[in-house]
Amino acid sequence: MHRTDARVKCVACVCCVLLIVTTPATAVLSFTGYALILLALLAVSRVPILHIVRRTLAVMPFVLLIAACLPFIKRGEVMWSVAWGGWTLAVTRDGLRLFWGVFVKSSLSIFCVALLTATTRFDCLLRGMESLRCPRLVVMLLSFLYRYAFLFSDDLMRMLRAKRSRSFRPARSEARILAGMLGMLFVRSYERAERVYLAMCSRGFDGTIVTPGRPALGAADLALSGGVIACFAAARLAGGIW
Amino acid sequence: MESPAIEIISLSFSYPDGVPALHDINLNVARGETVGIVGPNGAGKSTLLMHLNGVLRGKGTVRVMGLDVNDENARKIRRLVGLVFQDPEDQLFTPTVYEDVAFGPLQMRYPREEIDRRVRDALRTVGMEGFERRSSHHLSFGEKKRVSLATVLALDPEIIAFDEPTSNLDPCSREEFISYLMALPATKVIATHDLELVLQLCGHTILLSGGTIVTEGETRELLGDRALMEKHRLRVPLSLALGPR
Ligand SMILES: Nc1ncnc2c1ncn2[C@@H]1O[C@H](COP(=O)(O)OP(=O)(O)OP(=O)(O)O)[C@@H](O)[C@H]1O
Ligand SMILES: [Mg+2]
Repeated sequence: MHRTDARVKCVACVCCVLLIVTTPATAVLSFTGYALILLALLAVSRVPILHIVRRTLAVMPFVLLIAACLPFIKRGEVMWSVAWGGWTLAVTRDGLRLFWGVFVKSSLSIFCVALLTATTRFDCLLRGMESLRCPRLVVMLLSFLYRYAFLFSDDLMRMLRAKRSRSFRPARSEARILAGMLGMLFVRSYERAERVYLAMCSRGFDGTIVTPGRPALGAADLALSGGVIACFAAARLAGGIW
Repeated sequence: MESPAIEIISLSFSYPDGVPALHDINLNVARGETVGIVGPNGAGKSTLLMHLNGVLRGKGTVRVMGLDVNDENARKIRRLVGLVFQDPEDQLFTPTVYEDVAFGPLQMRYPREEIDRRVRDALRTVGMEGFERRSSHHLSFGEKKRVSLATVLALDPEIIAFDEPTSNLDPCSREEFISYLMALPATKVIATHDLELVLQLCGHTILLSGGTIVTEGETRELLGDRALMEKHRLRVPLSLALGPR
């Protein structure tokens, strides 16, 4: 699975996520099916499950925060309520159902994407996106982001360390120092960008982004992705509602 | 007569913020020659190198292999002159080693097989074959330096300009890197504080200080002039000071 062409993996991932999010929340059987398929894929790919779980968990707080509000907002049959002063906090059945839907769908979708990124090198993913007609500028931006995010954070760490080894002032003036540091970080990054641009120009960059051609898709890759999508579709049908 | 590899006539340059960096530079480098540029920090060495392929443009004339450096010739010039930057992080800007080395050839719109061949050859020359799929940011500094050199070699330039090629390398990496430099047939311009390196590689040396060429001459003679060296915050290299070998 690691060697499967990034393009078909991208397409398969997007299709699966689409199938997941459009499944009605009541189709428990479908969701079970999705989960089983994903677990099977995970087993085949030999990615450690902890890795995926950790990534999924990293995104969950955001999802939960939004989802947790839903039971209270949605109107409908009240299950239980808390009255406090002039306010009534009510949890509705519809709201809960919505919460469950958002929760299940988002965790499965994130699982899907985590599986994609865990089995695909970032540069392959970028090139896959590019040959799927994702604008070249976006791909190039992402690639720079990937390349220089580490340098950027290293820069920040170094500055923080340098600051810590010199500052004895009370915490009150911290904010001002921090602001100055952020400014410096910006200037540094800006100058780095300038030098990188010069380096690109030195090797003939003239503003147009040239990319190499792509090899043809292999039949095995297509078959694998098609198979995964078909399984998802089957699971969805099994849930009864299309 | 064959035109010289590099010909600079009264070149002056100031950075956009008004810092004057080069003043009235005149310079000739013959084909196949290896020239050293030495001088204290802030002398303008890096700035001068950037003029060789026209990424910076000052007042005056720069000619490379008989071609004027201007917008019209930019493409040809970039192929003729390779620039190895001081900081490899600036030179390696794509996610993988392969893409970095292939960047130049790609820009030249070479066919795919040609690109692959060039990448392979360039990486072999610097002893980095097999690193194609590695991420650039996970290489050691010495490896980054070597890949930087490969990115330039992939274009097979006639002239290669090096900015501090040996800085931050451990003694062994330094020696290896020098051996790669020596094996290159191109015309070489080397800006560095590593005077032993200059002594070893360059027949001719230019002393740059405060944005002007103070003097130039035969390397041993120039680097052996104690008064001159110390006046420009440099030192006579040990191997020269300890007498003739
Ligand atoms: N991007 C820039 N903007 C403004 N001034 C600059 C810029 N880069 C360099 N300078 C200035 O131009 C002068 C020459 O700098 P340059 O980097 O060419 O020196 P150098 O000889 O390479 O020094 P070093 O040995 O430290 O690398 C210096 O005074 C420097 O402060
Ligand atoms: Mg410099």
